[in-house]
Amino acid sequence: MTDGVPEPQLDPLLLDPTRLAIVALLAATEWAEFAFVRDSVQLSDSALSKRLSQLSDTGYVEVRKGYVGKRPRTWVNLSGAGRGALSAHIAKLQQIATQVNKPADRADQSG
Amino acid sequence: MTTPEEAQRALLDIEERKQQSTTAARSSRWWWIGGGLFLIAFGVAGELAPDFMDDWGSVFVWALLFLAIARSSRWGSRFFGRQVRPRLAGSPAHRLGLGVIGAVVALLLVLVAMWLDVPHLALAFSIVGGLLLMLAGPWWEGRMLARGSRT
Repeated sequence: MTDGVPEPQLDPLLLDPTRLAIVALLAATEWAEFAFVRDSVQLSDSALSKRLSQLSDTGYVEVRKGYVGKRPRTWVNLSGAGRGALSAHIAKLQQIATQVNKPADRADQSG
Repeated sequence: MTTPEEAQRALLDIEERKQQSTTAARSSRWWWIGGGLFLIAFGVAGELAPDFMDDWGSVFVWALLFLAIARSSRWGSRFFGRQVRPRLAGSPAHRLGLGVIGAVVALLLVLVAMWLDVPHLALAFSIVGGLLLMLAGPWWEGRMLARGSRT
């Protein structure tokens, strides 16, 4: 804890690159079609369904089913909890990523 | 344990994925060109066939308004071949406020033009509006989507 502000943490669920890719894709949309997510992350229908179930169980994504004409469609959306988790995850990643420059900075300053 | 290199790679991947969604949410440039041409044709028709436009003008306006609202829904997006419904920056109230300000500014411009007795006012507005749609529409959409993806 720093000044009462909670330290951002890496989300264990988002450590999986595929789940992170799904959440990042959904972060820039309001609702995305299942087929768009599947083609973007190059997963099979069943593999994507499994990942979405995991994300849905933790409340990170919402899944809705409907019809366009007679064809069944599935839409996916990142929930508020999901957006919050991704923001915290990104903040922590940025924190870790900046550490790579710190030794070099110190070397520059001493030299 | 995540290393700084892994964190940098993950951050790059997140940005690329967001960019992928933003690109998918963009409308075809032809939508903007079609919309601009329609607006110009609307103004020209008002000049050349005022009686026809008196009868049918409002029908066109309502049909277009319906089309614009339908296209922003999940079903409408799919119907028009867009797999992603774009995420826009700001709350709906904020966007409505900006829309109202835009409408008031447009109304003020019309009133000033009327006061200055500008000839063929409707035609001039439709040509300026149509060209603006065609040329600035894609840029404006890209900017709105990029802002939405950051929130």
